[in-house]
Amino acid sequence: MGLIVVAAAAVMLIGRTARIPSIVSYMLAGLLIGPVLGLLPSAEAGASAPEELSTISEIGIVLLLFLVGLEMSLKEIREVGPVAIVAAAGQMIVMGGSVFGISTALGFAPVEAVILAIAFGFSSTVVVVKLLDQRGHIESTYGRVAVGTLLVQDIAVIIVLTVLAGLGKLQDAGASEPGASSADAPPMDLGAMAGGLGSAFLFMIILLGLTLLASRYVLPKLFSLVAKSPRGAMIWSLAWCFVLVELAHVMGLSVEIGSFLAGVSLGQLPRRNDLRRRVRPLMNFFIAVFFVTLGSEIELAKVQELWLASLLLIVLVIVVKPPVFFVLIARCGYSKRSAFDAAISLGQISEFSLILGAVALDVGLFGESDDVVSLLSVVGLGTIIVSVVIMGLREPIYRRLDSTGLLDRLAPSGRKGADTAHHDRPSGHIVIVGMNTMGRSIARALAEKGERVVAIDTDPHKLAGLPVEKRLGDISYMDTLTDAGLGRAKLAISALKIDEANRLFVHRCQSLGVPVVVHGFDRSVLEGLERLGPAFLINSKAAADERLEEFVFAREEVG
Amino acid sequence: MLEVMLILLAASVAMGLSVRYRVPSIPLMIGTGIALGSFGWMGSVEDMQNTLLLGIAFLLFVVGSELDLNAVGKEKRAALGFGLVQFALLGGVSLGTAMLLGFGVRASLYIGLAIASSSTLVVVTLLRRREQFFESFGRLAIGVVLLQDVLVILALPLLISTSLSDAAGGVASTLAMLALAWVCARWAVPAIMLRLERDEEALLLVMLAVLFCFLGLAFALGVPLETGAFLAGLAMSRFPVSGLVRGQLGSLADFFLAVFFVTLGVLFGTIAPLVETSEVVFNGVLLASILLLAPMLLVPLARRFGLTTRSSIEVTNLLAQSGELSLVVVLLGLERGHVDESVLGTIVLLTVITMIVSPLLSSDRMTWRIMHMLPGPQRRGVSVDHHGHLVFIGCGTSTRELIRRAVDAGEKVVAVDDDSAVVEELSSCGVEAIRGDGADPWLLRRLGIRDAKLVVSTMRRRGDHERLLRLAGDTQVIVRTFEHDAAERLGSLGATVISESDEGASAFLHWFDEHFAPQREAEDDAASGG
Repeated sequence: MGLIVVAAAAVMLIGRTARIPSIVSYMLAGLLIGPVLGLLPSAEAGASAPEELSTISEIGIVLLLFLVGLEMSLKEIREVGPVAIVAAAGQMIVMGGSVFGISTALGFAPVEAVILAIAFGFSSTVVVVKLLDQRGHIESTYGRVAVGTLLVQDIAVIIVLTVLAGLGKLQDAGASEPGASSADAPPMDLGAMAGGLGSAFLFMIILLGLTLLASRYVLPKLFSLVAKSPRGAMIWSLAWCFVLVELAHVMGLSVEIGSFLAGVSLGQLPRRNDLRRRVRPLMNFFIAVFFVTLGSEIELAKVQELWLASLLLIVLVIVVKPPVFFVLIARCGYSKRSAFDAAISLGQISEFSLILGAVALDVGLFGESDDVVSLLSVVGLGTIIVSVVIMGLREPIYRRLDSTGLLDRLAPSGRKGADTAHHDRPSGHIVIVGMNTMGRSIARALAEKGERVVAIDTDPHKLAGLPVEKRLGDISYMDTLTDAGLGRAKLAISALKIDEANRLFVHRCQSLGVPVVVHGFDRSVLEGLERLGPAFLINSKAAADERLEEFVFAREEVG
Repeated sequence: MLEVMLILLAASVAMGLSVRYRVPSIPLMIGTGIALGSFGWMGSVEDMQNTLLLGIAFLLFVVGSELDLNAVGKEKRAALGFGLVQFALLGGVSLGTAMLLGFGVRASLYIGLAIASSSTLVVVTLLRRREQFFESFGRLAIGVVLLQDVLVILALPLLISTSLSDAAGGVASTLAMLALAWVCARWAVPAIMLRLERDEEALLLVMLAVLFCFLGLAFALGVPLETGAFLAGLAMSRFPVSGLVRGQLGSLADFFLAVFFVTLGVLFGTIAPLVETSEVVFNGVLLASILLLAPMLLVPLARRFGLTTRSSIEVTNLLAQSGELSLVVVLLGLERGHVDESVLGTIVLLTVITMIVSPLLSSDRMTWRIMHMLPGPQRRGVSVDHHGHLVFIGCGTSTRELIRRAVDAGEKVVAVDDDSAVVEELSSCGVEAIRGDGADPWLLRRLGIRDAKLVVSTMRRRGDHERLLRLAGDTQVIVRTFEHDAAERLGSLGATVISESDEGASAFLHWFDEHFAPQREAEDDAASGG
């Protein structure tokens, strides 16, 4: 595992200079230490990844789906729901048809062509969300449309995985009959398949029902018990996630379904953003191992063998996906700019496409051949790289296309999102960290002065009742500060009585060019904080001593 | 996945109990792990040992990354002196006891080293929770546990060596790695990390790469992996890198430490049938008793390093537990075949007992009980025979200015502080200054606070103020405090309260009005003009 992590970090650092996304770097690292250098057991050598790595990869996928679930807010889904459903479904149909046609023409079996058609309908949640996050565009109109579309696709993934789980049970049943072998397995009859799918759907509905009930009646009360302990809440959330994963496994559903539903059920809690931040590093660690392992399993011989199909499908994704998304989104009333940005961001296939291929291989849909999985890996890698490059160039591409009038011809442009200003995003505001007595006093006083204030604390009770915007979170995670719009704030204040957190806060504010005020709560920390150069140091003890002096001498004078 | 779920469920139960009853989560996690292990649901011992190894790596990485000497403040010298003597004394007594109990020399050395170190995680958690991090005894305790961590890590190569040359090689390799960690901390790591500071995923990967590079190096040099993990953490311990990785590392640590402690419990639960339970219980309880009674012997020692009696009791009680490094030491011995399962059982039991007792033993109530049992030498010779005087308890920089003004104004002033340097400074200015604990009822009576014109207290703890108010009678008492609920409580007991938080907020708002009001007016004008 050490080798995997070191290789991933090294390739990622090199890749950063070329703006290669981390997922691509991980896969390249896997390619390097697997098939190229032979430091990991590779598929070409006929070996499979050690069991520990498989478990770690599986945990990575579980956590990834758990995070996607956590990101699902019903309110946000409702807002962009219609366009997301139209865009996701329409694009899946068009892409599916195109890919099925090309795959069949390339000689893939019908089952393989169907799986490829479905797999190509998904875009990469991780890549898109990460790119939007890096650019600070998640809350933009196009960002929300893109995320909404991805969420609809994620639901489609769950449905497809459920279907595959049903098919897998069917295959198992066929294989477990006495004397059965793959050669003389009974032909699939539609009744049995419907039964398999029916039971999978039934179990999914039961699991979904249990999850929703727990989400409504059990989890809020349960998690209120550890409201003051963010660490406790994180461990509880992970335990809940793995309970549902195990439950899904027992019901014959995929672990992905269990973890996704666990995320959704916790996504309605006030602490969901804090949980997301705390779980993300874990996911990043495990998923890095997953992608490196995946990269290490790419068979170079297969790439050579499948180069034509790979190239054709990469071109198809790049040329067909974004225009289809553009037309569908624009026709839902969105401005051509928002539709264009959302469409460009979704122009790749997903990590779920690879998982889907792997699951289909697992349940025996491809027989002994893993060509489809290899093809998906190569196309996945290719489309992710190209789409990231295109995302970086979207401004000149948009100008060029717009000047030709092509965008206007493709779709009548609506007005939604035409105003690119993010009216709800805090800007020119004041961020206050640490809602102890002093932090709360300052927040209230500034709000009374008409300032827009965003207050941050890890304890929901300390945030309660304040007439300001609130963020539950820990400033050790940069994401907490990004959520609070720290980079756009006119002033940042820390009222915390934790020295290392104060120093980190000052450092982060200064690196963003935001003036910062910090609490020098003890004489022993004053010198260190002063050295960091805050705009103002609140020496609460000295301020109190000034008042003390007034008291003592006023008393003397009266006396 | 079933094992992961069971471990996380066990950790969740422990976390819930820990939050509910305010006891450290570590012994509870070990306890729930033991319960889990006794059901026999978990995988093989080999799998568990692999999991433990990963857990130990993260644990020591975290411990190393938190090695911040700034937290010790001006108590460095005292921490070094007291820490070394305490470590040697406790280690020596434990070593001797283990040998008397019939353990072999090598096993006794492991036991001695295990018991000599306290739990950094428990000490830091208790100090944070009680807001005592910046009190002198708190800083001393932090200094001592950091020193213990370093001593244990440096002792590991010696402990596992089989010959003198082996030991010398181990020490040389460790020192070389230490030098590398220092170079990394000073130059290499900041050079990379500060470029990545807004990309938390990249920070995480580089941080883990550093950990695994050090583990690989340790493996290549024949140094214990535990040492490698600790030194990797050390490479991350300088600000601002330490702050930047804190969140990422915190998430991983929360997960892996939970997995580590529960798995340790499971392992113990699994191997429990292999050990003589009565022997393990006897040895564990005996050694725990030694550890818990050690403060009685160590208090005079702490006082020699400049602490007041109360601070001495507090620091020695706070350190009276074996900790996570104790478990690491014994697991290393078990892995090398130097100790058997009964030693692991003994240290696990000892750790569970002492960690559970720790919050109680280090509580204010226990401290005062012990105070009453230990008449301190500072109590002799204090006699104040004044009426209508001013009493200042706690003399920070600005309070000392106030005292001087009062003296200049012709007031009779008595000042009390626990810092000998402060007392010396005030005495040299002609102030009647006494070194002592301002919350000690005996001392307060001797100060004649009931006859004083005014008592000004800037002590840190609400309990100390309350004790003072109960003894002050009708004398006016002014107290300085931070939290509003404390202010309300003290106000209801008759104190004149000056709120640090209100005054701090006022100072800030004054500054804000000066610097931001003109800007706001200009914005408003522009808006109304538009």
